[in-house]
Parts: sequence; C-alpha cells; structure tokens
Amino acid sequence: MIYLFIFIPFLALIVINLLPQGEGEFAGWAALAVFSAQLAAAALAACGLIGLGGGWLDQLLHFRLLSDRTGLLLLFLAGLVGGTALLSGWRLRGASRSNFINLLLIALTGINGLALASDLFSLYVFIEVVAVSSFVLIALFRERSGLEGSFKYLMMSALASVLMLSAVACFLVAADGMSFAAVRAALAVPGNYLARAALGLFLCGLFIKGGLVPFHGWLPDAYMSAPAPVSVFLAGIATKAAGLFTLVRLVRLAPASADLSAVLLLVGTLSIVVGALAALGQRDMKRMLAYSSISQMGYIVAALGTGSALGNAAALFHFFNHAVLKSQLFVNAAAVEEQTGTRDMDRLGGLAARLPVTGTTSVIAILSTAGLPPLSGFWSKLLIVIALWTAGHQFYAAIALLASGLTLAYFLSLQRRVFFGRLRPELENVKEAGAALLLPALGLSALTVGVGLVFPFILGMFIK
Amino acid sequence: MSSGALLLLLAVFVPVGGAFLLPLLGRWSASARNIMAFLLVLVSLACSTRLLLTVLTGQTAVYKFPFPLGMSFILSADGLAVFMAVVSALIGAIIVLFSFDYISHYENQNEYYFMVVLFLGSMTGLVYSQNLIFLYLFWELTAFASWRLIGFYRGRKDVLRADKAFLVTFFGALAMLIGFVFIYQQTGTFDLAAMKGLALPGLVVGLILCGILSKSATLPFQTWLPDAGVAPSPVTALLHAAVLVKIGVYVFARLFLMTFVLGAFWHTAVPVIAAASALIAAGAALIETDIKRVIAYSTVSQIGFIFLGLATGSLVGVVGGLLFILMHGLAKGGLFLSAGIIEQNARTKDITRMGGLFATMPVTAAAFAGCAFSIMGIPPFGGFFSKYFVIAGAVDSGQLWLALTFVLGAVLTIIYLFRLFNLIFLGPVKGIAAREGSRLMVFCVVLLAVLSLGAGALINYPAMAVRAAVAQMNGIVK
Amino acid sequence: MITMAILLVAMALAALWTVTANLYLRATIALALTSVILTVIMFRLGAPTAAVFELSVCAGLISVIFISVISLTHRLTLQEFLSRRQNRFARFRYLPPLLIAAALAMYFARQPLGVSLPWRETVTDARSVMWDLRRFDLFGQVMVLLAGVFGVVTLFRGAKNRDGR
Repeated sequence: MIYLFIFIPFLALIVINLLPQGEGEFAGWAALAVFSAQLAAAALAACGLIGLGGGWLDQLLHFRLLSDRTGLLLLFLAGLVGGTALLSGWRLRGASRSNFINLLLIALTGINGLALASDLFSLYVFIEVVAVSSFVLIALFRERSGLEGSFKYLMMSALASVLMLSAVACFLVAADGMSFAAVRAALAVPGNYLARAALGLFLCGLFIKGGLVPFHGWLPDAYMSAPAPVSVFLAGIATKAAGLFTLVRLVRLAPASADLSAVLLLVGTLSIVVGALAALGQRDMKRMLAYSSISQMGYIVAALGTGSALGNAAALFHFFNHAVLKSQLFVNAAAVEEQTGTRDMDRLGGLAARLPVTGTTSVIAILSTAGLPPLSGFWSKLLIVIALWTAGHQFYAAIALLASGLTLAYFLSLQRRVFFGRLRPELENVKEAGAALLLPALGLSALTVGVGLVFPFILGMFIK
Repeated sequence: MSSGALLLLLAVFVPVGGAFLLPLLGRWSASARNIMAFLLVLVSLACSTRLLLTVLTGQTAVYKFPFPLGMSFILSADGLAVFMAVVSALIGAIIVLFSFDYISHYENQNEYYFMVVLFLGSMTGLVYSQNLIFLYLFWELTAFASWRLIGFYRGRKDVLRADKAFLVTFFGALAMLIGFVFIYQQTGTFDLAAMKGLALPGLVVGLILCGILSKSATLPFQTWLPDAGVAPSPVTALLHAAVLVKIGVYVFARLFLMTFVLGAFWHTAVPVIAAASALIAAGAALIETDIKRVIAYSTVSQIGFIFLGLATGSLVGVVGGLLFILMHGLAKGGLFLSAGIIEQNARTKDITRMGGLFATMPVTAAAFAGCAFSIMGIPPFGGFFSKYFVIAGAVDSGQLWLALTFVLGAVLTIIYLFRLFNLIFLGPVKGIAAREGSRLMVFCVVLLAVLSLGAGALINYPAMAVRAAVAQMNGIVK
Repeated sequence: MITMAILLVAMALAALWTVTANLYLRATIALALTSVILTVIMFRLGAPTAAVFELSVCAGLISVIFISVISLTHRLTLQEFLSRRQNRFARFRYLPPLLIAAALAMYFARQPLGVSLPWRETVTDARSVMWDLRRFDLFGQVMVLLAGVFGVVTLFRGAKNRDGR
C-alpha cells in the first residue's frame, strides 16, 4: 500500500509522456489527480482509516520503508503544496507546461521517497532527486536570472552533497550499515567519535540544503529568480523536505546531547534573527518572502534543539504551518505579479481594492506567520517557546518570541506597500487573479484559520 | 450548562461570531448590516448586565472547557469582569449607533462594522478570560481590529500609523507573553484561578507591565495613541475612550489586584510612572493644536490617574480607579464623538482655525462641555468622584507627594480642556462655520454627556458594582 | 604511510588545478588525472572493484564525453579570456561554508587525530550490494537520472531556436 506513494507519481509520469501531448490539458488533470489522491490518502492514513500494510508488492520488492506519522505529514504536505504549485502554474502553455508537470512529478517522487526512506543513504539519494529537479525547475524559462539562481543553488547543493556523502562514508565505517536503526545504535555508543563527526557533516549538508544561516546565500536568489509556480513549490515544500524534514529524521537518531542542542539552537536562532532583519530591508516581494522563509525555518531548527518530545511535536507542527503559509504567500505573490507585472513593492499599493481575495488571504497568512492568535501559526510558535523555555533555554525562547515582532514588522510593511493603503492610479485597471490562483489561496487560508480554531481541541492528541 | 455559563458564552461569541456575518450581510443591505451590528453589541450588553445582577448577589458564574497543557478555556464572571464588560459594551453600543451616520459616506463600511463588532466581542472575551493564553488571544484580536480600523481611510499616513500602533502594542504583548511563559514554568498552568497569591519576581512583573503600559499608551509607550487619531472619530472614541486603552488597566487589575501579589517596590514604582505619564501628557495636551491629539494626550494623562488608583493598593484608591474607568470612558467617548461631529462639519482638525462654533452647534457644544466637566472633575459630574477617590487613595497609602503631583495633573487637565473649549466654541468666528451634526449623532453625544452627569448624580449604583468587584480582590491593603 | 600522504597531496593538487584551469581542455585533463590518482589510492586501500569503476567511468568515459563536448565549442576571445583570468578566484567564494562545515564536524568529533578506524567485513560484490540491499536507492537513482534527462530536455532542446541561430 505504502509503495503506491512512490510508484503512482512515477507511473503517472510514464503515462503522461507516452500519451500524445496535445495542449497538455490531460497531463495537467492527471497530475492534479495524483496530487489530490496523495493528499487524501495521507490524510486518511493519518486518521487510521487506511492501513499502510504490505500486500503482494511487499513480497515482490523488499523495500525497507518507514511509515510513521512524521512521514505521513510530509506526504500530506507534498500533495497539498504540489497541487497548489500545479494550479498556480496552470496557465503555462506548450513545452514549459509539460516540462513543469514532468519535473513536478519527479520531485514529488523524490519527496515521497524522503518521507518513506529508512536509511541515510536512501535519504541522500532522494534529496538529490528533489535537488536535481529543483535546479531545472528554477531555470524552467531559461532566463538569465533563473539560470543564475539555479547555478548558485547547484553550487551550494554540490557542496552539501559532498558533505553528506562523506558523512555516509564515515557512517559506513563507524556504524553497522546505514539504516536508521544502525546509525542510532552507533551514535548511542559514547566513544564513537567518527559517528559523531559524520553526524556533524550530515547536519551541515542539511543546513546548506535547507538554506539556514550561515549557509543561506543561495536561497533568496533561487526563490526570487524561479518562475512563480516553481517558487511556490520550492518554498512550500521542496527545500523544506530536503533540508528540514531530513533534519528532523537525523536529529531523532542522535541521543540528546548538549553539543547537538547548542548547534541547533544557535543555527536556529541565528536564522530567525538574520532572516527577519534581512527581510525588513527588501523591496522585491518574493525576496522578502524568501528571507522570511529562512527566519521561519529557524524556529523549526531551534525547536528541534530542545530535544524534548514537546519540542519535536512543536517543530513538526510549525513545519506544517510554515509549508501552508509560505505556499499561500507565494501564491499571493504570483497573483500580484501576474496581474500587475511587477513584484517591486514600491511600485504597488492599495491592491486590496482590486484584488480583494488575494489581499484578504494574504492578511490571514501574514498574521498567522507573525503568530497572531487564534491562527495556526500562533499555536506552533507558542509550543516552540514553551518547549524552549521548559528545556531551560529561556534566552533563546525570549529571542524567538521577540523575533516574531520583527516578523510582524516586515510583513506589515509588505501589506502596507502592496495591499493596504490607497490604490495607485496606474493600477486602476488591475483585476483579480484567475480561479487557478484564488482556489489554492482560499483553501490554504481556510486551513490556517481552521487549524488555528480547532487546535486546542486536538492538542491532547497532538502532544502524545 | 448553567444559565450563567450560557450567558458568558453568548456575551463573548455572539459578537465575535456574528461579526463575520456582517460583511456578507452588507453586500445585501447596508441598513440591515448596521442594525445587525448594533444588535450584536446589544446582546452582549444584555448578557453582561444580566450577569452583573448575578454578581451583585455575591455569586460568580464560570464556564470551563478543559484543554491540556494548562490551556483550559475558562470564562468567569466576577465583579471586576462584569463591571468592565458592561462599561465597554455600553459605550461600544453608543459608538456603533453614532457610526450609522458618521461612517455612511465612506468606502469599506463592511470592514468597518466587521472590525468594530469583532473588537467589542474580543474585548468582552478578554475581560471574562480566566486563562492567560486566551487573555492573550483576545488581546491580540483587539490589536488586529484596531490596526484595520486606524488605517480605515487608507491614506499613506493612516496606514503607517496603523502599523505603528499595531507594532508597539504587539511588541509589548510579546514581552508580556514571555512573562506568562515564565509563570507557566513555575505553576504548570495558564489558569489564573490556580495562581492566586503567587509572588512574582521583579523581572516578570516588568515584562508584563511592558505589555500593559504599551496597550494603555502610558509612558514610555504613549506615542502611538495620539498618532492613531487619524482614524475615524468613532474609532478613536473606541480606542481611546471606551475600550482599547482600558485593556491595559483592566489586565493590571486582573493580574496584580486579583491574582498575584505585587511587591512593595511596585506600589511606588507604578504610581511614579503614572505620575510622569500624567504630567508629560498634560503638558503635550496644552500645546497641541489638533483637536483629536489634544483629547488623545488627555487620555494618556487620565490613564495615569487610573494606574495611580489601582497601584496604590488602598481600598479607596482601587474603588476610585475602577470608577474612573467608567467615568472616563463615558466622558472621553463623548468628547471624541463631539470632536468627530466638529471635524466632519468644519472639515479641519486645527483648533486655531476654529472659533465661535457655539452659535451654530449649540447642542454639541453643550454636550462637549458636559463631558469636559466630567473629565476635569467638577461635581456633580461622575469624573469628580472618581478623581477624588483616586487622590484620596494616594493620600491614604501615605504617598502625599504623589497625591500632590496628581492634583497638579488635575489642574492642568482643567486648563487644557478650558483652552480647548474656548478655542473651538467661544470667541469670534474665524471663517469656519460648521453646522450641527445629524440628529442621531447629536443624540449619541448628548446621551454620553447625560450619562456622565447621571453616573455622578447617582454615584451609588456604579459604586455598588465596584464594591462587589473590590470585595473579591486580594491585593488590597485595607 | 608516506606514499599515501604523497598520493593524497597529489590528488588535492590535481583537483585544485581542475578548478583553476583556464581552458576547459586542461581542466578535463586535470580531472582525469585526479581520477587516476584516486584509482591508485583505492587500489592501495584494497578496493579493486571501486578502483576499476573509478578508472573506467570517471577517468575514461567522462573525460571522453567532456572532450567531445569541448571540441564542439569555440575558443574564447582575448577579452573573455582576460576577464575570466581576473575572476578566476571568485569561484572560491564557496570555500567559507565548506570551512565552517569542516569546523563543525571537527567540533562534533573532537577526537585526537591518528586513532585507527574500526574495521569490519563488508560485502564486496557490488552487484549483490546494489540489488539485495539497496533496491530502494536504486529506484531513487533512476529518478535522479530521469530528472537529469528531463533537465537536459528542458534546458537544451530548442535553445538554438530561441536564440534565433
């Protein structure tokens, strides 16, 4: 059953490419069906309505897959954000459209592989699947800026690959194989320095992949120069899956230690603060969102640094929120760019009058990101702060909390320069974006509000 | 579920939930939306009033829904909460009524009513919340609503100042939240009832005070309030007079009078901050020329009196402080709404360009005078009693110098309000001849002035409610 | 031990030459040289299968592909050559993260250098490793290849039409 998560996108890819292309309408619908099916299946499985047991494929394949709630969360988000990205790229035509859909499906397979991998080397391989498809997606239109962003990402990614491969090599020597169980056992041995060094290397590779400070240089360029639908996918799920989800997996393998905590807390808090400060000074809407993304990822890493069960749960919850909120904000940015032809915030203004849906949903998303109750972002930040505080990291907790004031500051400036305020005369004729951009925006903000309202009720289930 | 619990839920969730229907209703019919908005606030007011009767008999009503991690949703109607809820809903209802005519010719009305009612509902929720997390939740909802409301006119300056107000209060609230998390680590819960009698370290008190002072626009966080005067007048009335700035005061009473034990240091420190705030703001009010800024600075100054009354910890002072919330809300609401009428008809906010308006708008002028008298503290207006009690409380607790400072503040109040009245209504006409406002608007203003007078003449009734509140406090030096 | 050290240094130098070379052809040759030295190291470490792979694929096949591609390109003009020469060290901006990473790894290990590594018997037959133990990775590697193929299709097909050449 669980194999279907990696085979269905793969099969869909083959089927789409074997059938005659036409205008690409069929490919779009087929891909959308794949994403929605994955969304539904992951949600049902998380509720325990579908079993994930083997079946005949199990006999045949002997894959060693891991199916747990954390993985299901990623599968769910991959379906959600992938579908959103697909819809926001719906108006692409011709070769770009089919390339976009093909690469999206490959990346989806990669992400699903990440969710199910039970072995560090598999993890690495699937990170590469996501990364290679991301490089190409960023340069999809073959414009100069896209190629440049893609190249930067490629370079940093290569560096990360080197680090991760060296780590894998070290683990091969220091541990009894590379399965999670073996690595965990090796890390638990006190004197196993090589395994600890490998852990450090792998960690660094993931920091680069995730774009965390001080390895964040590539991220704003890549997000900014990518075509709008691609940046939804990148920011919403691709880099998070490759950099953060894997980090969650890795950190859980290591026994709690002061060193690991210190590094995670430091990198996390640094990302929070540096990302937020850098976002304050941006003019380009997508660039600001990219820096904000760095800042929000910092919260997740800091929460992992607590090493407590509550911290882990909070990190995953923020992971969920962040994926939903960032994809929504990038969808909104796509709508603004599509309708006005610019992302320069100093040339926009008062768009809420012309783009009411986009404006309203973006208010919801920014307030949730800044942690305004009762939206979902508030609860995850609160849990993170409580986890940090009760784990004895009061200082970091205070920084994390105050940084959400910075978050509000830059987002209010975005809102003020783009949506709030009076309409600029030259934007008089702007119209609301099409349904393909509005539907995901509405759906995602409904999710934000809904989760926020329901959260106290599911809190008990959640922290177990 | 007991009837008290039901009333609590209705008082909070009818306006909060109903607010979301208003924009939809507004697409269909504007007047239906207006009436609906008014009704929502009225329902909340009625529920709170009914609860007031319960509380006067010495009982309390509680609604509790358990959540893990000490985050149970608890609404509780005790004396303090009910008093505050009735005051804000009463003034809120009058302001909504006033808005019918005032706001009727602007864009974004749907959002306006949505936010006003959401604001009042959240305020009620905040007042009844017995859990720090939900208190924070409603606190931020009010901040959100006031952000949209201050930016109502959408001009560059409006939006900038809306952002400023939001940011200042948000940062304050974050500092406060750090304090809350600290308390959580000590007690393992956010439930206020479980924290009674806890003594807090100075740092935590300081952090929480940051939140309170920023919301109440007290020194050193006062500047956002005068700047927020770019909002439509009913909103300024709502923000400055009835509700928003009182949130800080209320939370101060809720936390430091009803729950935690305040150290001796703070019994002096808070009044000193309040005194500085009162004097500096009064000085600013003396020299400002924008009508709304004068009144706004006056608010900052008067909030200082409330803090004085509550922080001294003497019985008389606390009674005075709570009464002050009511009296100041009514009178300041009246002043702002009159200022709204004047501003709309004179098309300027600059008082040096006005003059002699008494001849053309006598009713508004009379109401303005009545409200101003109440703020000044002239008997038999309600403001006299509250101000007297507050200063008497300071004397009572042995802080004579502080009391004298506040007497100076009161004198300054009289001076700047006379100056304001003089410049607007008396003297020769300087080219701006304003008409009287619409009947409904003038009615609202007069109503507030009459209520100010009535609350003073019949001081027994509000005092009864306040006494019921004070009886349940534990932080009072008797 | 000394031979190994010399080999390692030589490999590092060859790699350095690869990334600083001005001409693609020289870079390719340097890369091949690196691979060859690596092959020798692998032989000496007792991994003949890997060494053969390295020699045939990296030093052999890839060099052939590179050289055939280079033969299709044109020479740099003098200006291009000079500007590249000026910026030849710009590519080292990626070095600092690497150093930070190394520092972090050292921090985690904090172990006196020179301690002998644990040794264990491993499965030596590459085919059985690939097929019996790492089937899932194989699927992943197929996906990487696919992504590469689509990448080439996306980025290079029709490029000439777009440039109007």
